[in-house]
Amino acid sequence: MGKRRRNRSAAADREERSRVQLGRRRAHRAKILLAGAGVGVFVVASALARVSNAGHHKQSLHPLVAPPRFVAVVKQNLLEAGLVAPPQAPPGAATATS
Amino acid sequence: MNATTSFRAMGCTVVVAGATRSQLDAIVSLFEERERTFSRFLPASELTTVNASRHAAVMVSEVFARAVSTALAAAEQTDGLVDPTLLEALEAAGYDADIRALEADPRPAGDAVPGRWRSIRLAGRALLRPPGLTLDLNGVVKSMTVDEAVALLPGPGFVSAGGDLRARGELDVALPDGSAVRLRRGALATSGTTTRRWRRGGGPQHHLIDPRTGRPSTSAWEQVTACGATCVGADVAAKAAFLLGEDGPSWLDERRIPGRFLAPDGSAVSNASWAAAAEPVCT
Repeated sequence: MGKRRRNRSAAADREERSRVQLGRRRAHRAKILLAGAGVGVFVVASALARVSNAGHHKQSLHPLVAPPRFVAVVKQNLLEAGLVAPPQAPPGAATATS
Repeated sequence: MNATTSFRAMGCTVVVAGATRSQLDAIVSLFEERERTFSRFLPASELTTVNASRHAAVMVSEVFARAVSTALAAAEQTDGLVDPTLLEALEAAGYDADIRALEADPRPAGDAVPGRWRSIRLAGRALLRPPGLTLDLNGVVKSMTVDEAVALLPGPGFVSAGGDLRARGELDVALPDGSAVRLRRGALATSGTTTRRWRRGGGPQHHLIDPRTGRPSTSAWEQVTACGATCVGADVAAKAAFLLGEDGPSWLDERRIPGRFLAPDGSAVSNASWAAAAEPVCT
């Protein structure tokens, strides 16, 4: 009598555990689904905001610098003047056609 | 300032003042190394190798890339007047050997070859140009080397290569017309047709090729001296002003570069920038 009652209670325990496990799995899947949906909503909202909101840039950003070719020329400005003055002593050197 | 010493390199006399023995050795080595790299008359030079290459893209040394970059900047800033692609035109005019070995040649000069500097690209150390396009970097290399050599001096002094001169400290310099000027800062360079002349086809030729015609320039000037912040800048300015002929003085003035122009009849003209700075006002 007692043994039969014990068997019935063990079966009920197993059934209870499997229901809990099922519930946990469902909850886990639901969390993943909710997180994914949240990310999706954020991406869509960002894209919409970018397209429609005046405060968002519509194209990829470029740094506010001159084109590299221009920068190279400015960096290497060959035609910068030197400084001359009236002579003050006999020449110590000479410039001439080479 | 220490004693003045001179030696030959790059087909001209190099004069150095203000260097100790070890610094002078370093300067001599610098000129020799640059000559080994950029001489178009040495079969093993990098320039000869690059010019002989049939490939459109060539990897060059760092110093070679720097010279090409400077030459392209010079071309850009002079609207192509100072052009590194005039070697073919120079050889067509007869300058195909060391100037000391050139003799009068009765054959007519070759076809005119205008400059093509815009067809050159430099990406890092990769040089791209149409196969067959040859370079002459001598124009910028000599003055670049002068700039580098002056940086080796410990104090006041100067380095001059064939008359292209850069000083540290102030220096009084004699000019081709017999007058003088005080160089307070930077460099003086003179371009002209009094040296590097030869005869070809019964007519006189010289090394200053006008890239617009592909022939030796018919400038109104015999020599032009310009004062730049660097020797390479002064040299580029002097060449461009020479090639521009009568427009040369105003072209330099637009850039505030002092320039002195000597005509074939011996008369000298200063542009406004030179006159304002270097010619004493009589009261």
